[in-house]
Amino acid sequence: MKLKFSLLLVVVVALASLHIAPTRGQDGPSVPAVLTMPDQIAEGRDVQIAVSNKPPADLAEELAVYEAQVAKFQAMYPNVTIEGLELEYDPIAYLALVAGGQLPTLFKTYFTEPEKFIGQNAVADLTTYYEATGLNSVFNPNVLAIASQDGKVYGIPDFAYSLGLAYNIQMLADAGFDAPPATWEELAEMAVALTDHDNGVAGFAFINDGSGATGWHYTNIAYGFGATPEGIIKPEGDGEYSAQFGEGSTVDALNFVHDLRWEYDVLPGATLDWGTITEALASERVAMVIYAGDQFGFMNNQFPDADLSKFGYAAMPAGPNGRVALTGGNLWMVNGSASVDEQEAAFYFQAWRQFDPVEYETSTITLSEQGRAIGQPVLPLYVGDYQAARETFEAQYNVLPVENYTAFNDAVKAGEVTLQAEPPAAAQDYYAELGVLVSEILSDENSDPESRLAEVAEEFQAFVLDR
Amino acid sequence: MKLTYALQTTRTITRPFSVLPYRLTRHLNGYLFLLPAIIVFALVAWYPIVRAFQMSFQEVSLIGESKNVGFENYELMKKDPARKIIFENSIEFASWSILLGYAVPVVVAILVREMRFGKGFFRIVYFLPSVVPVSIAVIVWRFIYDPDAGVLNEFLELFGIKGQLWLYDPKLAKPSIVAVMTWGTFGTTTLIYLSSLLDIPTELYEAAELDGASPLMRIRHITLPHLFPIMSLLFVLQILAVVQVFTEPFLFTKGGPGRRETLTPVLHIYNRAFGRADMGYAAAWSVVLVIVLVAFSAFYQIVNRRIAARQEN
Repeated sequence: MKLKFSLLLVVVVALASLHIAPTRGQDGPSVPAVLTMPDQIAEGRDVQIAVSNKPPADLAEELAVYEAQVAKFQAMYPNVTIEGLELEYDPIAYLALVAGGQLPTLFKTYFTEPEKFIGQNAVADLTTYYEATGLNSVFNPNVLAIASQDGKVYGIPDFAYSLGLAYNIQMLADAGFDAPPATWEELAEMAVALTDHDNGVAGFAFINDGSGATGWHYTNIAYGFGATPEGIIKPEGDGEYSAQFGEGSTVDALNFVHDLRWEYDVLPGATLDWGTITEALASERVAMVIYAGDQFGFMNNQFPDADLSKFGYAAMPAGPNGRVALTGGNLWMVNGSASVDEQEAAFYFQAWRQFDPVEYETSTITLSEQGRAIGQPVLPLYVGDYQAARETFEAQYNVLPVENYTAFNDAVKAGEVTLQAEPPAAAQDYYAELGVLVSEILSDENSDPESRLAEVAEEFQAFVLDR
Repeated sequence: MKLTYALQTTRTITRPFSVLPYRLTRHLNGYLFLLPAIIVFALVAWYPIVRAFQMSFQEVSLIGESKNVGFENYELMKKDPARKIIFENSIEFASWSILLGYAVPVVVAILVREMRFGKGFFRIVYFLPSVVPVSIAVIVWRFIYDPDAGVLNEFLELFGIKGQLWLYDPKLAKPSIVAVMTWGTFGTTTLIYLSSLLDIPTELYEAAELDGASPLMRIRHITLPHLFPIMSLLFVLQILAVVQVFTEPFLFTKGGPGRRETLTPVLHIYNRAFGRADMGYAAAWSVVLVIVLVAFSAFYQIVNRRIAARQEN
């Protein structure tokens, strides 16, 4: 029975390869192989791993690619069994999974989360695998640092982006602007000209639903006004931190937000979250928005009627410290409670599907053929020739109008954008608190940014940093 | 004498666990049938309550040992700036809900009761919102409240009234949310009132009509007195439900706008438990909330009984 199943598996993989092979980019350049896979995983012992983010049944083509990948890997390593879970990352659900000892062996999470998982001893140290494969020299060290703590690497980053400014090219042109704003002051002035409340058009928007994402966007504005991570939450040594955001540049930034609402009156009336801000941009109800590069992918996939050629993307406007942007992204982590064999299988499965040239090229071509977002204005995940080779390969299959993102891509490559880290401790709690405060400032004209920031900083110290 | 002897003998023979009191063993089969339900209920209801009480005295670690911290979580509550906001919000939410929502089902039930035709049709129509899941209702109401392209603002503009920021204006957020809650629940309450109204003997109305009572007089002197006990009960239940409201503020406003105008106790507990992973502090809030609500219910019951006793006298 087992033999029959194995033969069937080989036939399926062979058929899948036959289908995929002719479509691979033989005409274009291929990416080099930087990963050498081991002859055996777990020394041949039977091992089963649970892997999150299996594509759901309604994404039939993506699911087919995923299943072919799994079948191929299991054929390469017959002792490994992979169980796919249609489980996407959700901070609250995963908190329960950690508490219940139910984390998948390999799971995908956000750049904001490693500190939390590492602090709870919930994830595995992958340093030895990185050293064995040499992949640490392939990754952009700034990106790998997000997955690292005390010299140990705990995750495999697979995607990185920074915040920038998306804008409606035609709306700017109609208002007499041929380029996006270079400074925050310029942004406010342009937004006034672009705002048309009678027709429900706001000149500028950021996520304003009072969630942590609102605090996150506000923090990027604050960085633009000269705030620094340590100027927000300062390390005091011995694991102690102090909340410093009650004064200085953070106050300037909050005053600016207050003025955008109550003096310039350029913000939308509706509350916008991660999804609805894209809807507002796509339906031309807002001219400029703080936007993550991968949200163009979201627009492309979720709003099939949206004409993406209408939208440009530039780096964040400059402040006293130049152009500063917060970063974000996804990485894969491995359950710290899994056995060593399971951890080894999980690491190599992810590394293989991320770095194997055939797997990478096949999935890129498939996504391109499906009209999925290739060409998003995101950050380089790797360094040197390898990164260049991937960019050259992907350029053949771009789906998005990459020429509209030149201002952003050029600024990043020229080093004009400072990619700023998050506050050094309790960043998510800080974003959540500031999201509530920004919501208050936007809805209450009499709320005083300076005194309220000081109060919130004091509360944050007592309830979060001192706990 | 013989008979007494016989009965005692039987009792001795049929008691399988002689150490247990007779009161228990007499219904042993019944208790055995109850046991599975009791075990399940204990695991999913009583154990979490006891555990929450225990956690309120701990610094809870999700992995590893939790640390006992005495009354630290309760002490911290005194410094929490959200405490005053939540207290005020709860009172305002309860007031808005009584103002906007309490009379609606009573009026609708009386109107349906008075209908000569289409009674069944209207019963269904009024009950329909109750079967719509809250999350779906929130999506629909978002469209209605949308300040830029919402149905409500467009309707107001037909009469030259300026559009409002329904969920984003600190003065309007609470009544806007209470309106959605009323819309979602008044159907069920209407049915409860309606079933109570159908219990009123029609002879009373016939006699009143013969005596020349107008419809309003009939409502005042027959209907409302009859409904008073159920209205009194639903008054307490409504306040208990409103103070514990979570879904609507969570989905509509996340506790904003302004200075957390729609932050409710349960939303605050959720934020602290799952936002900050501060389970101990959230448990302390939960315990205090339960104590306050139980105290309120007891106080209301005492006052209500005294009023009823005075009326009887």
